[in-house]
Amino acid sequence: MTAPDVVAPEEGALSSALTIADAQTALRDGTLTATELLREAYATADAVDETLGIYLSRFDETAQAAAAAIDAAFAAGEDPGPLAGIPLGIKDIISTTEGETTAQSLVLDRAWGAGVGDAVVVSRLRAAGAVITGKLTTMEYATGVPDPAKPFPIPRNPWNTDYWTGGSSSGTGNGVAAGAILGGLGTDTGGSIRIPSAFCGITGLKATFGRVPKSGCVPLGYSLDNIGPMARSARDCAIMLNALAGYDASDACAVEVPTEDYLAGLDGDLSGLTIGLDRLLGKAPTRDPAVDAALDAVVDVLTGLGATVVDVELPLWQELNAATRITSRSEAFAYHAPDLRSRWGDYFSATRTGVGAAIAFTGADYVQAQRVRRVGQKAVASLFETVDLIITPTSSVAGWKIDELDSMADRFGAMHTGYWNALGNPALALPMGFSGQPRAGGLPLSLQIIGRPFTESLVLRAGDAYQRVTDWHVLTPAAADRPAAAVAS
Amino acid sequence: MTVEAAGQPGPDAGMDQPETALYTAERLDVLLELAELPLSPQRKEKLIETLPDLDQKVAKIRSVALGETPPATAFDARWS
Repeated sequence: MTAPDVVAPEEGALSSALTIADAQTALRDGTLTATELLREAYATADAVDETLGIYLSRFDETAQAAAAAIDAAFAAGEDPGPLAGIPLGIKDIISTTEGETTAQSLVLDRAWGAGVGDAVVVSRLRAAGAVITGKLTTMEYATGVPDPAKPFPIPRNPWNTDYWTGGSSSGTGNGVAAGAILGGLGTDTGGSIRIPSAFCGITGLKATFGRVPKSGCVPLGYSLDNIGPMARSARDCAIMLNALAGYDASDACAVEVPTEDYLAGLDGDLSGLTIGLDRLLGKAPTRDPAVDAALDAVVDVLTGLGATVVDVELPLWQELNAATRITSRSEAFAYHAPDLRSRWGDYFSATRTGVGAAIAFTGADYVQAQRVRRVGQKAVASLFETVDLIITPTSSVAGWKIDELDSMADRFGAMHTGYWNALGNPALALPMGFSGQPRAGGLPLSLQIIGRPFTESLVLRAGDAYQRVTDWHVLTPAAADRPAAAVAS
Repeated sequence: MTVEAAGQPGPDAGMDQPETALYTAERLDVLLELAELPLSPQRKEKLIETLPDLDQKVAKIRSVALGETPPATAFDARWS
């Protein structure tokens, strides 16, 4: 299936549909320099950031120096790495050497990041040649919803600016969709990579818990947090995961299992695979009917690629979602309790009530939640004896209007991501259609592909195969269009 | 302890909500005091709005028969 009404950017403008893979090729064949690519990315940000709320801080000077060094290396015949010259942004709860890490909060001590420097993941991206462009908007401490009373940008969806990007990796989501960056880092405790990927129409991967080290990141839920790639395509996520994955002793949750070349298996072939589909009917308080039509089309595409799609029902759905909520809130409260006691009013409204509500959970409730997670792991492992992959909608809705957001409490049920944080499996969100017309107020819909633990290669292979024969992921929002003159200047 | 098969419905299965609300305003006062979290009446009102939803979450995990299942926690004595 192809997407309707694909609109190409004006000639001469940086295509916001440019992928990391495209840029890799152009940089290596000499048709594009890292300096030009960075300049165009920043020009896009200059044009849209005031409206969309992508950046909290930019690193123009150091990024330009890094891009120049990459160009010099290419000119000298060297290969500066698989991400050489690629402009990537970092969610502002992950520490970088340049600038402050704020967690988009008045509460976090601005000296926090200075003691950390580059997080392991940032060091790995730089070692692969990436150009780090700046720090991107998030929800406060990676939880909740925007608070207009606080002095931070409110991230807007580039497909329809009345709508929210989803959270909490909001600036990574709308930055990639708008073409201000080619990819970036998000974090995911209950869906914070996958939900903004879904709402903004891009691709995002929550790898297996422990696959990517998370030291140097402000914690939300210690046993649920993940750092992962967000980009336009599954292939781009694989390129980034090649740099990000691997054990590091600085993260107590990191798991010492071998990594793979995540690009090696992207062959477009799904022959012989059995894919379990749970449409999650009746599992959400509201459901956009366009989701069901999109899922029907997904089944046709996957079948055409050689897979067999069978219906499955995910076990313990509500129980595991409850375990994620109790775990996330309890772990966050443990971290924030001292500041909540003294600075309640400085927190965003949704953060303080969401996290503060954890006073209602007992220690036994927390331990029971961890036991439910173990029961759930066994039940889902049994299901994975009958299928190779599982697919669901990432969300039952395409988004919410910003002026209707007051808390997430009654909205969690429409997002189908937290279940997989309780279990730890790798899960990829990728565009599968639209609710309404693209570029006419319509919003993207998203498919979620889940694999057994540490099978990111297979998850990415399925996502890449789907994207080879569909073009939802290369659609660009009108907000990304810029006059050619703006690029040339 | 009653031996149950893990993952099967437990004694509280099907209990979506407790018969009586666990979190009354009075109970919230006690919890806030234990947590050393002093809030104004207005802020308490906002917080208590979130609690019925948490009631349901707690009821959900209590409805699962856990048998002898240990919790999903990790600790490595070699950590330094």
